[in-house]
Amino acid sequence: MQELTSILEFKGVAMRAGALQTTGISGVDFSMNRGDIVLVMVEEGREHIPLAALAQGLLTPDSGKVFFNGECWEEAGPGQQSMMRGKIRRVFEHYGWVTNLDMMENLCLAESHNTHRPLEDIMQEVRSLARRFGIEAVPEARPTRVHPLILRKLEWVRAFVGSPDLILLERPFSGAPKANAAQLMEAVCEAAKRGVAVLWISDEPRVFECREFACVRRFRMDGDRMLAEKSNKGTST
Amino acid sequence: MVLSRQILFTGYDAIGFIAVVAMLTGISVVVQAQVWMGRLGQSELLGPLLVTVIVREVGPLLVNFIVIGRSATAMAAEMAGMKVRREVDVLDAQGLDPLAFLVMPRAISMACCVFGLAVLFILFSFVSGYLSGAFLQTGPTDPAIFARSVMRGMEPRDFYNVLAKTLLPGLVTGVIATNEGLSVEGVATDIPQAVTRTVTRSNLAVLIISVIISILTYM
Repeated sequence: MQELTSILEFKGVAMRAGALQTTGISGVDFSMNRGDIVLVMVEEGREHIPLAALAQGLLTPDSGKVFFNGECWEEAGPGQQSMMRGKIRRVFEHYGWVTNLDMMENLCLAESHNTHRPLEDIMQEVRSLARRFGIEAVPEARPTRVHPLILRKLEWVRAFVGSPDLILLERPFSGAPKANAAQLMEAVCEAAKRGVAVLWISDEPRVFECREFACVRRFRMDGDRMLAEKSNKGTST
Repeated sequence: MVLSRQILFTGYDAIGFIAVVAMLTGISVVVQAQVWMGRLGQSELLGPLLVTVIVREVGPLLVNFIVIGRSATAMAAEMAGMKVRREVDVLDAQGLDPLAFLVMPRAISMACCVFGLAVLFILFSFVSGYLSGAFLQTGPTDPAIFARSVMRGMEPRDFYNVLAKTLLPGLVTGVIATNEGLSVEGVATDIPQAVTRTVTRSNLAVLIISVIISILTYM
């Protein structure tokens, strides 16, 4: 039964440009199952689009509905929404850290709060993921004291900690060394193989053109509309 | 994690300052009370008078005011800063309910710390009052006599009074500070206003709660 439920579904979602997002979207319709990768290509320099915030139920669409694991965000109560968000990891397009926590606390926060895993176990995973992305030791400082390049790669680390149902990547390469792009793409492929759905918003053509992703759908933002690419490979809709 | 940090900042870090204020208060209040009660020939009423002034009113009130000035303002500014930097959204996006993660631990720690600091304040006040009275020869030099005099003035309801006048205003102050901080709508220039509102509303709340508890306890 669970297999039949989409992880993420947008049904006729439209949202006007507003204070929390700088560009609007309209007529967004797509769904994602376990292991799906959805790439949304935006032109370089384009302002922030609210797809990730809508996918997490942080914004309410002007029209249409967004479902996560079959639950409509608008119909879920605050407690349930928090539990649902606990199954989503995100690389934020802008600053995505809590300043009064140190880096390790920030990295472990979601997983330790939303699961019963021992903290030491989570920290071990964080260190291992950090090494994978080329960070030998997780900085002990608070985020404002950490170099932006390291900070960006640590956002990748945080996104892959634990076993989320959905990973949202909002232009994850912005501010990151180009040389590390392959590491992230490889990590995304592995996560998708484990059944994690990945929604990737990118302005990098090489991500869009990458043929290593197994079950992928590609969309391109055209004004406020999200158009499906015809050359999709291994896709359903 | 959040609770222990807040207790450390609001409670432990404030002990030094509270001790200084308590000692100065003890010196001025206890010595004056000893002098005036001696002149009026009512030295046996020294204990009840000190309990009325320090335990029932001045101790809890001063500690509440100090905590508002020292910690509630910092708390409101911290919350407002988090709101402006969109860090509350970051928490929310990670499945952490801001009410449970930000507001509750701060309000609870504030209540516990105000109670703990008030107990310390009362102790420091009496010790410093006794010592200064003994040094200036305005009161008894035997600590046992001084302690007995104070204990004679204490009643069981004084304990409930201190408990209510510290836990309740502490909790309310914590809620006001976090709420005012989180009410800032993404503009850094609103932070000082949130802090100002925290101070005025918390002070007012403390006074109102204190008056109501005094009436309920002693009238």
